[in-house]
Amino acid sequence: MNKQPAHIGQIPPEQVHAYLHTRPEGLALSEVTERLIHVGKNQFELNDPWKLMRSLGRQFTNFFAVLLFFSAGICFIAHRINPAEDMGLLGWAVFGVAIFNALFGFFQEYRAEKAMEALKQFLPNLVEVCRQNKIDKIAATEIVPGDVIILMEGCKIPADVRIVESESLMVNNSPLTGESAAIRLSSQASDRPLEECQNIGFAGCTVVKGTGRGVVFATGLRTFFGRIANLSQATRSSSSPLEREISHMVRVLTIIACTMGTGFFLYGMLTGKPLWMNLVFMMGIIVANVPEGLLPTLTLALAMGSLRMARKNVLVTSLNAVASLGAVHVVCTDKTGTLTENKLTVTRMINPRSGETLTKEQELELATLAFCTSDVRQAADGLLGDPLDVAMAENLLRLGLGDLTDARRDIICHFAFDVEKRRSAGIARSKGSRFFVVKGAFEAIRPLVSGVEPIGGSAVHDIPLPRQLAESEQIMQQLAAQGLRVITIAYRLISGDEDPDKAMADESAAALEHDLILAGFIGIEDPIRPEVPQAVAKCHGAGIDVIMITGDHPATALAIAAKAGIVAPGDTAHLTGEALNQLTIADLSKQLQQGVRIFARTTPEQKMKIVTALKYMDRVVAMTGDGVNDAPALRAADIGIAMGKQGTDVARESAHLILLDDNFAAIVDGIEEGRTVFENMKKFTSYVLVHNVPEILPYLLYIVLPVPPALNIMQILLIDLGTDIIPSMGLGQEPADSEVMKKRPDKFSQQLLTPKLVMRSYCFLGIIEAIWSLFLFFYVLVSGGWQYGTPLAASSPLYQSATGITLATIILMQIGNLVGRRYEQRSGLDRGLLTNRLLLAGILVQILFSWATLYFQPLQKILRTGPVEPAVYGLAWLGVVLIFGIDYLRKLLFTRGQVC
Amino acid sequence: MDRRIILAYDGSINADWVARYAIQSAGTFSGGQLTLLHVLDGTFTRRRIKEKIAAIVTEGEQRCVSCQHLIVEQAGDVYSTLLQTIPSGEQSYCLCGARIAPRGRGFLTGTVSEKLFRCQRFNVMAIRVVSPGLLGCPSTLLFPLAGHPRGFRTAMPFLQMTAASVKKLYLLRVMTANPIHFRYISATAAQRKIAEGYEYLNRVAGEIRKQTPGVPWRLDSSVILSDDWAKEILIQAGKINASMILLGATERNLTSRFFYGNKLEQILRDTSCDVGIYQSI
Repeated sequence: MNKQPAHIGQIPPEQVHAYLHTRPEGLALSEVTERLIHVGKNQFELNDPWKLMRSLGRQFTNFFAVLLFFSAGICFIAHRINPAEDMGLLGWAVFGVAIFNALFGFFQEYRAEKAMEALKQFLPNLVEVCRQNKIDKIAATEIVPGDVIILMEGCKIPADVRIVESESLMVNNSPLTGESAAIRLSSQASDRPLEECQNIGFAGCTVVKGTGRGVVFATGLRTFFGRIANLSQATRSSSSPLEREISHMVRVLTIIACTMGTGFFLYGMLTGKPLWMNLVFMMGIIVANVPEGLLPTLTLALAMGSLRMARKNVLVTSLNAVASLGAVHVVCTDKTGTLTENKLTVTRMINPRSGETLTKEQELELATLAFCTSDVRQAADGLLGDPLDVAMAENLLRLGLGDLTDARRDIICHFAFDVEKRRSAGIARSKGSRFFVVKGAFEAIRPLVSGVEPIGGSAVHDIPLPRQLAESEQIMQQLAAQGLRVITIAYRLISGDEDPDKAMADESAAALEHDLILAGFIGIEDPIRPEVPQAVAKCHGAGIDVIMITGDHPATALAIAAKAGIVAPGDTAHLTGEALNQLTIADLSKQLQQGVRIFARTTPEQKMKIVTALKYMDRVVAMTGDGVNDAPALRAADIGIAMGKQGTDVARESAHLILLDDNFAAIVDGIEEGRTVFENMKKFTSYVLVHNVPEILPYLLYIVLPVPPALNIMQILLIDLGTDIIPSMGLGQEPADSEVMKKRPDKFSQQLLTPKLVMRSYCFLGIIEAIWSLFLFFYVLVSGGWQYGTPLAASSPLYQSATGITLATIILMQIGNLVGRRYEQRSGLDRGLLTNRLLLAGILVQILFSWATLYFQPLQKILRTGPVEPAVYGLAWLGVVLIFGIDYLRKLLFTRGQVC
Repeated sequence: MDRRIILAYDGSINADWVARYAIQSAGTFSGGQLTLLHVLDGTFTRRRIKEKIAAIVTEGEQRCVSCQHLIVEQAGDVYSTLLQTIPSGEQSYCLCGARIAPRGRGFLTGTVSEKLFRCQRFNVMAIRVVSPGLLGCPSTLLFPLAGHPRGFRTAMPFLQMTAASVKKLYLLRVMTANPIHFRYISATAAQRKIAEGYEYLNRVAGEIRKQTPGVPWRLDSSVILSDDWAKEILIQAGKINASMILLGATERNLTSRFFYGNKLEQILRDTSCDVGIYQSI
């Protein structure tokens, strides 16, 4: 039995129409309609009208938003019951905060839609189609499987098509493969897998030369390009470590706030207190517990972190990525242009038999041969063309050929780089003879070689060819092991009875590719960026693994990796793309656990598999990429990093970060910045939680004892959304700690709200603030003649002075708390207050507000506060020393305990 | 071999494409025998149907599959005619198309195929073909599993039907959580659910290896925690570049059509590759 065809690429061109239920003259309109209904339009955007609404809905239904809306609702109800308390204003303030947070989150998600816009640019608007034996221009979205489309130079391919006719048809498949060199398409059947067939035109690719006809066999998101587009949209970015931490923190605080609020509301109702009083009390507890300013401050800290990253050439497109970057366990990086400078230079020209360096004359001869296979153009600002071809031309100029014009004149024909064969070729004339020259990877040329005859040498007949080639391969491996990209040059004389014109007409070198003579090896260096080894060492010091993914030969990849410090010299553990294909995710994870850090001869699609395996291992992954086909992997990684210089728009829109200079070292700077931001977040979270206690305690006393509340809700909000914001931002601006890149990544993905932090904030610092502020509250009341159990009206001047001093004390004591939060174990003064201007501005704001609360009449009216004696205000200042001093003592005792 | 594959052929373009799957399956699964059954409902003339069937028969012959065909007059409606004609029993496998129903009702909802699923008289597989270029020869198969307590037993025949061309078989288990719980699920709870999923898939993988000795496919498995299993199946199909998704429709799922029916429709509508929905009796 004959081997059955497994896909349309294996079908001979004359049978393709029948297999796709169409005809050479095209489909009838009724057939088009039927197919259009069945498979849908040729577009890769899924019609989901509710997508944005769902996204918006999510933002408004998270715990924090619900809590804030609930608080606002209570305020409005309270205002309705007792308008004199003016709770409506407060309600609007809380409502505003909730709306701001939700909309901010929504716009972050909305950004992802832009990637789709960039992808749409790859498809044409109109396309020439043969239907009912008539060629029409129709909208590309109306194409269906079975349609016969006309391909011509410059047109974009609208769907995946099987080529049935071709004339010098060359297409640029770079959106799919990343290879910039055009490939030739023919109509001949092929036994290769569908994606590797050279009789398939893929959607999104461009015809650069020639004409042809193709029959559509896949449209829309069923095309290879559509799948990439769909994946880069549909793949869910897993929630970042920071998002998870914030979510956890909000959940804890919400539970505390709601439990306390509801519990004491019920207590009040059971003990017969009036409903209004219980409502105000519940509101107070909830508002006091929820750090309303914390989320906006977190957002501002991330925004400021992103600005600092931008100065280090890292552009942030998703704010959460700032802190997430600090938590990455693994950075998967490309080689060319990221670890290396992407400046190809010929550094070695080697005899393939002896391994010796060629003489000047021999070098010139080999370089001239290599140039015959290169396609470069002279432009005003230098040579243009494939980087490898440009390197060959530059090498020729370096060897003393003053002008390329003569060398170019000798080239009769050039055969473009064949991705599948991994070689390019050319025909040139020299001294009345014609030569056919091939340039490419050794593995690609070896089967075509019939002899080894180095430039300037002669053939050896007493050693069998396989042995000669084995020796040459060893020489090639040695060159590759030095980190060089090794290009093999082989050639042969075209005999008189051969007809190269046919090959030229067909633009296929296949007929000439035999009996080649191996002439030499050219070693090309792409120098490693000087800052990379240090950056990699910094990563390792920070507990971060670096994985290199490249299309290069394993030996070259290993050598570069060793130079960069990714692997130890002599380490040979690596996986090739072919081996990677054979592995399951679990097997790949095992390989990664066993220390494989180099992936060579890989394709961009395989990045997704590597990301999946790393995530299977619970690693936080950063992945670099530049091509369209990198977009799904960039979306799937925790941090997708696109290249600013080399990257496509699609990659940039899919990424969380963009490296403006494509430099690996910038990623490491970004990680350091991310870690600093996370550390600073912990500092201001701790800072903000402290004032919750002096805000809650007055309400607890109010419900259980016959005393008036020491603060009203407006005053609480003044602290939460007013005086604490700038100092918090100041803490968010603290510079990096020298130890930050010596800690494990896990430290930056966990515990924004640790039990230790909660205990210190609530049960130690908070209590100090609460005791001192309540002491001054009762001091003012008692010295003003108040007696225990006597009710006081909210408008009473004595009560207003007492609440004023409570508020002023809390605001001032937050200064001591602020300075103390700068360091875990040091005082906080040793860094100097002037080094952080925002922190200083925050302190000035606090001082100003503490004074204005008591003595500035317009603010007094809003906050319902009154003045106190200057001596009492002086006592409030004593609180600053008190909280700072006691906290410093704690630090000293803790440090001593650790030393002991 | 007693197994019978009957292709319920309606003459549509999807049915023409599904016929390739039927030929492919018959070649390995039912001893090279395939029955084509068409109910004349007036959509196509008898002559047109005969022409179309002749093309399928020729293609079958090229693949060494002998195709018998039955063109029957409609008795009542198409569904009841099919019921009268297709032999009942667990050795009967009815292949049909999942193509869009009139008035945009969906690919399965309200179609004859859905009624065939519900009748529970023979095994049924409804296929939606969106990549005719694959010629009914999927090389990468995504097999999402819902964690049926009986393991893989009921799904095995359908896997064997498509096995001839499959080179990579991916088992997928989506562990579902309700959307609110999913947003706030703790890392430990998530890991526990995923481990549970892998435990199930490893058991199934063992079962498959045992029952298909010598089949040279590569078996891989993946577990995902999600609040939207249909979306995850579609994403996973894209990630592994699947040629076909083979998905079970259990009785439980069909009765809860309000939720599950929509999810099946979502997969059929938004798929980037061919989809087969099967149900065994």
